[in-house]
Amino acid sequence: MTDTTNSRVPLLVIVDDEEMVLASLRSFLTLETDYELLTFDSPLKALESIRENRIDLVISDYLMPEMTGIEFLLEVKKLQPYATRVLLTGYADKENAIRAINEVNLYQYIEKPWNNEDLKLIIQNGLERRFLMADLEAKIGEVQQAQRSLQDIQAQIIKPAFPI
Amino acid sequence: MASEPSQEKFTELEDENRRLRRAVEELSILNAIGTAVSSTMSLKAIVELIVQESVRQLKVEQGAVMLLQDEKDTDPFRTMARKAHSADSDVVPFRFGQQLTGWMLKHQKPLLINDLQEDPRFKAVASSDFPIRSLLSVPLRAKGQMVGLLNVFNKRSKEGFSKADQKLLSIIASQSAQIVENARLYEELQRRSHELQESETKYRALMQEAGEAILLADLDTRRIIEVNEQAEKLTAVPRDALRGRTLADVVPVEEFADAAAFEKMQQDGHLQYSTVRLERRGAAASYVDVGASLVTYGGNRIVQVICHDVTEREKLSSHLRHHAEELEKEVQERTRDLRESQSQLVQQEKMAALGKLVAGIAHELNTPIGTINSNADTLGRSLAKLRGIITNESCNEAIRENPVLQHVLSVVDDISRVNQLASQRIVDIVTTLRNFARLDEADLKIADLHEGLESTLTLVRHELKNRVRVVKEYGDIPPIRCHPNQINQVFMNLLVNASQAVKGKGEVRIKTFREDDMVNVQISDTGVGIPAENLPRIFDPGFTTKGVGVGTGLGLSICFKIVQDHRGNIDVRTEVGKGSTFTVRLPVGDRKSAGQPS
Repeated sequence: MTDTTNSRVPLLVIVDDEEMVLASLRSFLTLETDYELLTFDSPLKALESIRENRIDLVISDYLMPEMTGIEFLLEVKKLQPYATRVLLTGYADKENAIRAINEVNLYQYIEKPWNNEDLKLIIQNGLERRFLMADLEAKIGEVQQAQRSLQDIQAQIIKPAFPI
Repeated sequence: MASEPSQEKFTELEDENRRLRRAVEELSILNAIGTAVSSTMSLKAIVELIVQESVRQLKVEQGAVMLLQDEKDTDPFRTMARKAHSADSDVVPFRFGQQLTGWMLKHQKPLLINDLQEDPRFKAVASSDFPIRSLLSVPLRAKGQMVGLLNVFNKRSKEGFSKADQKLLSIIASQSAQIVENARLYEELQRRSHELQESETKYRALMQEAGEAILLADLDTRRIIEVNEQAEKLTAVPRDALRGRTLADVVPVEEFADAAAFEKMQQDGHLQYSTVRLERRGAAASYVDVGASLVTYGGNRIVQVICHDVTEREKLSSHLRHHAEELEKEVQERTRDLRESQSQLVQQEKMAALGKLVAGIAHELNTPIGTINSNADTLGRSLAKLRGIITNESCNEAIRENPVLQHVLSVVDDISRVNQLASQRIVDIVTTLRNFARLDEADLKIADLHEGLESTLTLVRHELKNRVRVVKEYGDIPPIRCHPNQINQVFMNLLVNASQAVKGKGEVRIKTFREDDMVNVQISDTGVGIPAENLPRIFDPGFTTKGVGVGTGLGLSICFKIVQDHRGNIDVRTEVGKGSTFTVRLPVGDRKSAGQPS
């Protein structure tokens, strides 16, 4: 899938203050996929990295010491709006989930304990969406570029018609 | 000389003549008085006759009869008659001084005084209007008792009263005293009789005009003699029909039919009051307070029954009683409601506390179990890949055929499989706990409960198998606004419980119906039932009888919470050995607002 729309390897960022969660996700995704993974136990460190790298999908815990998953994803949205955002939470709270979906334009909300197969599917779909969005963006850019060219040509054609 | 004997003779003759005349006079007095006895003369006339004869015979200025009277607070004597010696001379009233009457009362013997003015005992008696010079007083006696005085005053001749006068007056007194007394007694009798008549008349008038119903009955026969108008009104029976009937027949007081009670009444003079109900032909029954007493009427002892109409009071008191009963009932209902709502509140509190606890635990468990579960899955996948590599044709034969490696791989496979199963069970439990802690998540929808029941039945089919027959009695119920997933969870728990309660073959019955504003879903089983000692705890979280590993002890408490959150209620009727029936009631709700989730 990753090679159908885009030749480059997808870059995933995973943030959770619990190292064991990061470890098990790393184990699973390394075994099952060839995505490039960046895992952080601190959202602040993760943001530093996101400023440096172009990322495709981010998975964040909700309850962390430095900031909440929503605050973190909001920052990510500002930095890289096309990156797909997923919340992986053990905190059973519907109110926050709704807030997250509305404010952060969350792609998916996953509850711990998660199912590996479900998670893999969500990541795959999230990436596909992200690349489609990027393609769409690129196509829109091309169309706009073409439109601008057309407008220029039009202007040149029309100008001699009214020489005086 | 010759004259001497004739003179003597003359004197003798004269004496004889005087004696004869005196005897005639005495006789004439007795005759006059005797005539009075046989006549129906009044006491006053008799007394006047006696005084008149005394005045005439004793040749005095005045005479008087005084009779002893009963009244103690006035003068002991009452002057009954006073006469002057002739009709044309005035009778001057005067007080026969108390010293004199007192003396007579005390000594009860004739008193003769010819010089009253000089008598030191009675000086004060003399009256200026009628100066008494002399007096003669004799007692009137009847059957040995003094009943009065016969007095004469001022002898008309100068010589004063003689012993002969005293004897004459005494004779008159002795002859007339009994007659006077008889006349007095007769008059007294007449007076009393008259008074009695008057009081009887008064009584009759009182009785007839009385505000209360009065019935008079003979003491011996207990039959009604007389009634008043009020009694006619009260019993709605005319007087003539009442007369002659027995008292107990008209006024149903037990004692009126009881001879012993009547005897007791004769001793006490009255009966206890009691309230009785009077049945009346052609009219509403009335209530009366009945009192009976013995009265003397027309000289006879009779029973007087007074009935006081208390129908209004009884109505009021019956109304009050009714009201009190209603209140009592209401209080009981309220108390029961309060108890119910109290126990519901307690249950609610338990749920809230448990919800918090469970949410906390679930949150703490999510991360580690999420990790373990994920790792177990990853390990399984890794092993599968590993086995794929080892069993591949391209692999070194020494490795591919190594029995130790094969053995180790199968051990690790087994462990991984068991780990996955174990962690999955923990995940399931944590999921259940989490669902329990946040039941308010899914949106409210208008749902058909029959659809929910059907889909739930599909899910629990493996539990029912061929063992339990499912009977559906779906009634006409409207769709309701609810969280369908939660309601389905309730059905699921109840159906699984019902199925598990049935040991061997049996039946589970699902009945739906509408009752007022509630939709009822009844799930009955022919299972083992719930013992009484477990009944109060079945909705408590963590209570289970299914044994370790089978139930979480949360099923019914989740049902309780879900139903409660839907403003419904759930209850159970059970009989050990026969089965249980759980009834879930959910409000029909307002269909209009149900269309638009708030």
